[in-house]
Amino acid sequence: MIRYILLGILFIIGMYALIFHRSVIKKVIALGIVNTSVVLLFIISGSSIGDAPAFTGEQGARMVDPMVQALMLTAIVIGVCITSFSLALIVHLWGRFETFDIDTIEKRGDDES
Amino acid sequence: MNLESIAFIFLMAPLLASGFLLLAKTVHHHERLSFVIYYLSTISGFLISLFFTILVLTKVNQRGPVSFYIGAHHSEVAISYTFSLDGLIIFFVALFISFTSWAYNDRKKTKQIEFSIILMIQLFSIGATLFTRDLFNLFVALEIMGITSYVLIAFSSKVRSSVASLYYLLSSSAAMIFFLLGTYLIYRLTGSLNYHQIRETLKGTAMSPATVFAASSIIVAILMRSALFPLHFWLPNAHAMAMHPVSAILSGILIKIPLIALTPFVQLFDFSQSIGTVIKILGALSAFFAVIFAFCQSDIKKLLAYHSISQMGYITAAWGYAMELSLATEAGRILYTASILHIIFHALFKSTLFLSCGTIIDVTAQRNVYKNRNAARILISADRKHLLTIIAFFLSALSITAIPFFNGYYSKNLITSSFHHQWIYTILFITGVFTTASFLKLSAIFFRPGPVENTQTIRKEKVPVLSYVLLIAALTVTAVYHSPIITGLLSSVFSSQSDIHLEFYESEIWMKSVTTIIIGTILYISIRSRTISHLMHLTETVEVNLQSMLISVILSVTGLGIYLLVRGVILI
Repeated sequence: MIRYILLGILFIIGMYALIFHRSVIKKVIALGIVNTSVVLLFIISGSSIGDAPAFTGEQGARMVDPMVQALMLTAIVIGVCITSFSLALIVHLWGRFETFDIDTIEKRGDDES
Repeated sequence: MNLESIAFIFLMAPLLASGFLLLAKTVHHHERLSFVIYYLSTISGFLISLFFTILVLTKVNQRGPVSFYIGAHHSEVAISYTFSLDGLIIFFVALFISFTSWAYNDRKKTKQIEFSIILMIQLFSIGATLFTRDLFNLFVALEIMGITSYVLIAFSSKVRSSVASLYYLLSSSAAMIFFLLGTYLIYRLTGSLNYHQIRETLKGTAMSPATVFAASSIIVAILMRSALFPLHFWLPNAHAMAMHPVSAILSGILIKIPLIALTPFVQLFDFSQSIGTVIKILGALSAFFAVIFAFCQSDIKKLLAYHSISQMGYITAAWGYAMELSLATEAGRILYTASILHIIFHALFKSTLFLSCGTIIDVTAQRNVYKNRNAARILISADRKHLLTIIAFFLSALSITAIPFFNGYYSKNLITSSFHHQWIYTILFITGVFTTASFLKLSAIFFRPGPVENTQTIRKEKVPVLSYVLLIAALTVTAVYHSPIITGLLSSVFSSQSDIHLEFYESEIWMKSVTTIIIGTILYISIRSRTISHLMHLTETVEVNLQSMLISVILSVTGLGIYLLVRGVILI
């Protein structure tokens, strides 16, 4: 149970920072934290049905759910794509405005358009 | 020919083409070779995909929907794909819109190879989203579709487009985390991600908070991509600041795909009718609020972007009502057909509007609807071929305002007449009035006399003749053959011989159209009033920040969940 509570706390911390933090870099980090909390939720849940690694051929041992591990591998790859593209956008915006503050970026963007 | 062996070719062809296009990018220093690979891969990608789409479409039309598995023959772990007729028709439209937008961009010569690479990957993701019947596969397809959209939006040289792309990325990614959370709950509850098995496990089970939260998380994440009120805040800037062909693809086709993907998902739950009710109401509100914001805009592309939200409101209202009544009923089928019809027609006229208005903005160097004057004269003096731009604009503007004999008239009336004697009918009538007023305001750029020196700022832009000819032809054909299209859709999608009575020229519908035009014209004239213009300016300056966008996602998930639970308890 404690694992799920800790994951819940991780999720809330990430979501809070994503919504309320003004730095775009920290927002991207927060997005990573929230994403990780959901990935961990899948992994922990998948490990609850067994304790042996998947497909190692151990006799008599119940292996963890291999399906969730395969799914989360994909989710992590997607997460990396999103993080890298958002960082590329932030670098572009930094080059233009020299700030990571979302409100300043918004305001200067409006002024330029 | 075995259908299984050809079914995936139309999906894989664009993906393969994108691989070859990457090759064209790597040999960019050999200009001629690079361009040969570029044209060969793009055109063959489109043509192969088109050929096999038509082939599969005709076979599915004869046999009904067909399902295949990828990865394994054992259906419990394999990824299931179902090729249904509605999805194939939408994919055909997506191919058409993507091709016209590609032709437009190719003529303008802006980042041609890069644009084509992303476009081809996006086409693949559109197909995957439409046909997959596996929850996690849907997540991956939606994410690919999202990533390609963020990249396409950021292609524009305007810094505002990068900001819009980042906002869309962050809010959409936050929504997709709820999607993943919903997927977790569904997997935990049913032990499967396959729609068929989920349905079998959930059938007849009592409504639990976990099921409701899973459904609402996934539905909200999908509806965010379709820009349904109150999840639409990312759209106006993203669509308005992108390059013109990108706006045409995003508004024309991309925002509709998630809604079609939602159809089989919603039907997994016993409480699908309650979900339909919420989406119907939100769709009507979306149509209404967005059109007011559209009417108040001074930026031409932002005005069009708000209209996309409004028109999506019509589509989702009809779709939601169809789910509420259930697709097993005749009325539900007609409503679902009406929403598909408006998806197709809106895809055509909104893409045409974005492309033609984009050309007008480029030639006149003016985005402001009030400052853009004498556009017709400026366009013709720039190039006589711009007559096509003017025809394309007016054909699509008359279609969106639902003027009789243009395609929007048929799809909109099919939707609104289904809501007769309901409050939504009045809401959609008012929306129609505001749409007329908005497009009178936009059309005024052609007639408003302007100073002669305006002609000195003319930019010589190449006229994308192929795109315009194709779009004008499609708009004309769909308007002329509306009746066989509707009956064909109805009988093919549901494999039933419906005895639908199509009468679009009854005195009541005529009177409604005439009244809409008259009140719309009065509303347009009222812009001159100082109070109205002040109010419009105040509405225009309302901006929603990223924080509110993210909060709206969380509130929507909780709100929908609570509503479904309460309604479930009441119904018990």
